[in-house]
Amino acid sequence: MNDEFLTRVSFAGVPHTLPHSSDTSQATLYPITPHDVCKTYWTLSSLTVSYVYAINGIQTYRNFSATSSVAPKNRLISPATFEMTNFDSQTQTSYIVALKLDGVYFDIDDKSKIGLKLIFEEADSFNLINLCLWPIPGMNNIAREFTFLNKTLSAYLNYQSPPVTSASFSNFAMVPEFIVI
Amino acid sequence: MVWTLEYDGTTKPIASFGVSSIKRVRKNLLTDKVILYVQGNALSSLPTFSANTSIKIFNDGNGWFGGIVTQTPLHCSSNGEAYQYEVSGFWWYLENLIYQQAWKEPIDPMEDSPTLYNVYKSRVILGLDISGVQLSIGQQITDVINYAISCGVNLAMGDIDIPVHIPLDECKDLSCADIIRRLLRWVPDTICYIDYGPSVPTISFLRRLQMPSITLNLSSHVQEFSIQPRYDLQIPAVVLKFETTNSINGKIWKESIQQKYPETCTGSELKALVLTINLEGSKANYVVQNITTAAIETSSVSWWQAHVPGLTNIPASNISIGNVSRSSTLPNELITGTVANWMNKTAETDIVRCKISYADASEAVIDREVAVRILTTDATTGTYKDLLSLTTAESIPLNLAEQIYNSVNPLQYDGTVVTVSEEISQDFFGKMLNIIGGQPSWETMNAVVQEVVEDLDSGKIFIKFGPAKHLGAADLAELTRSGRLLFESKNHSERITAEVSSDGTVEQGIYARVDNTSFGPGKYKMIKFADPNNSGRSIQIDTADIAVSAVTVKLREEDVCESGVLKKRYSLASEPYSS
Repeated sequence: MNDEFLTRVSFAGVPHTLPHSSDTSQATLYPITPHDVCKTYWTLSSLTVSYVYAINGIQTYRNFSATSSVAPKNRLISPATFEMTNFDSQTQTSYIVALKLDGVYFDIDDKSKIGLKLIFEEADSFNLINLCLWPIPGMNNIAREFTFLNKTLSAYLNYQSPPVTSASFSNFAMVPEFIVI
Repeated sequence: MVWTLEYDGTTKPIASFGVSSIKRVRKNLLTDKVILYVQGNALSSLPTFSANTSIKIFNDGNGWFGGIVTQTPLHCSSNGEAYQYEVSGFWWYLENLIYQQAWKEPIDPMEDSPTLYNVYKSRVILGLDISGVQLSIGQQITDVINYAISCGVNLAMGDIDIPVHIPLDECKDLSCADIIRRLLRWVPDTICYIDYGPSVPTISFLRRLQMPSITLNLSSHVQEFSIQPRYDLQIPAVVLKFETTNSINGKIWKESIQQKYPETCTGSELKALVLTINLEGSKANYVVQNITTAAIETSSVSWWQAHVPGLTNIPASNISIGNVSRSSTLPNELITGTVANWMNKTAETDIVRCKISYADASEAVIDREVAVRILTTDATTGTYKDLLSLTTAESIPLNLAEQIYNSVNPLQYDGTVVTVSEEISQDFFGKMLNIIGGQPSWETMNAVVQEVVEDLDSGKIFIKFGPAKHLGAADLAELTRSGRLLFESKNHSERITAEVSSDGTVEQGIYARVDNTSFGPGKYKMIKFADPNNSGRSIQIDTADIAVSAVTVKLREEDVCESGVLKKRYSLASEPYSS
């Protein structure tokens, strides 16, 4: 059971003690509204990522979650961190999702535009493939749009060709789950 | 004597019209008449004289009668056929003309001083002209005759000398003749005489002693007579009781004034003529206004406390006043009552301003702007009064009792005389008759001839003399009708000024005291809110609690998160300051 609470926050909807940076280039989830930031910071309980990709005919399914056990009202003192790192020995890839709520980024000219740092990546040991939220120069890439916090983002499957002769990337989703108070 | 008749523009011997018989009947204050008979084949012939045509009869070229053909009855008998023509004298016109008087009426009654014009009405006030001057009986009758002349009646005013004033008498829809008879009830010894001699007949009104006398010898041509002294008509006294009802501002009282003649009479004598006459009393309406004023003491704390309710409970010693200003220079403040234009005083709104500093248990204010809206005036405490309307009382006719006494009291002789002679050479009408050849008292009886009937064919003259019965002089009961028929005139001022009775509208005061206090922006030093049910619970905002020299604490907007939802709220907070 989560208790109701009321606390003073910054214009970004997060505690004043949280670092606020005007360097928006650090944000991967930008821009979103202060209301989305407030909701995400205080009530996000889990972040689930799922996707499918195939390299040279070998198909890989991913579905993993990052959760936080910090209760909403306790996030005034300690921000929640959503991070999950794993290694797939079969494909020799490591994959990670992280949403660090220990800082926000804002447009110094328009404080209704706030950014968060969202990390998603899957990479093999040989740097032949890479799944992340931006295209990598010099590699082929397949982009797939997804919606997160009311914002349309793109995820990219970057690969070297050759040796990769065939690649596909689909069903990318990143689903947040919020606590209802 | 040569008798001629003028008809339809032609004057011919009267016989040439076929007239076989002429009879003239004259009665005091009634229509003179001449009866003409025209013998002949009346059944088959048209009337010689048409109805509503004029006829004049001359005796040796002198006017003897004139008038209008009013009746043309046809008589048939075994003795023959004849037209009878009844010719009415000029009094007939007065009987058939409604007397009207000019009244003033406003062209635009909404104007403050409207222009008046004359409107002729058959509601008349006898004894008053349009300029408000009271008229004597003689002057009023002259006005009636002049009105008739203005309406086309071919008459001229002859002698009239009746300087008797009467109470104002309001009546309506009466003929000129009725009006004259109504007036002459006050002086019943008056006779009206129309002289047909001039080309335009003259009408004269003569009182008994103003008439020429004529003496009749009983041994000469008198065929029959009767006579009696009317001691029964003599009255020992005339007492007039004038009653007026006066009114001032709704307070009504009656006032009685007695006029009597002889002076020594009491009115309780037998046969004394006692008349109660109502006169219009004076009426006045005043508007009265009591006002109370007080000096404007703007430097006095108590004055401000009296005008600013919020200061009432603050000790005077805790209040200081500065920067006083006023928009008016009038010296006094209106406390009670109103100031109206009719008071000839000035009043105006004054905005009195000052800056007040005060402190009490719950607040401390510095230089609060306070404005009080008051009514200032140069009037002082007292009672102001102004005449709203005034109707002066009707004046009491002077010597009216004496005039009535002199008209009624002298011994009068009542009777008739019939004379017969070959020629009718004497005119008895309009004269005082004395008779010789009988009792000595008859020789100076000065009897007023009231009726004369002259038959030219037979030479017979019927004379009736005595008091004028139709004027009420015949008995006491009739005399008192003069008073009973008289009603006080309630409209005489309306006739003159066109003013109607007041509807009670009084100009209201324009300026009355105002109670209106305005607070300007105050500078609070401290405000304290206290729970009325728990004195220990309070909120106190005191600038003294701000330790730094220049900082403002005010409501400020801030962001909050309510259970994960970003919202805003206001908080009372200061601006940042260095500690």
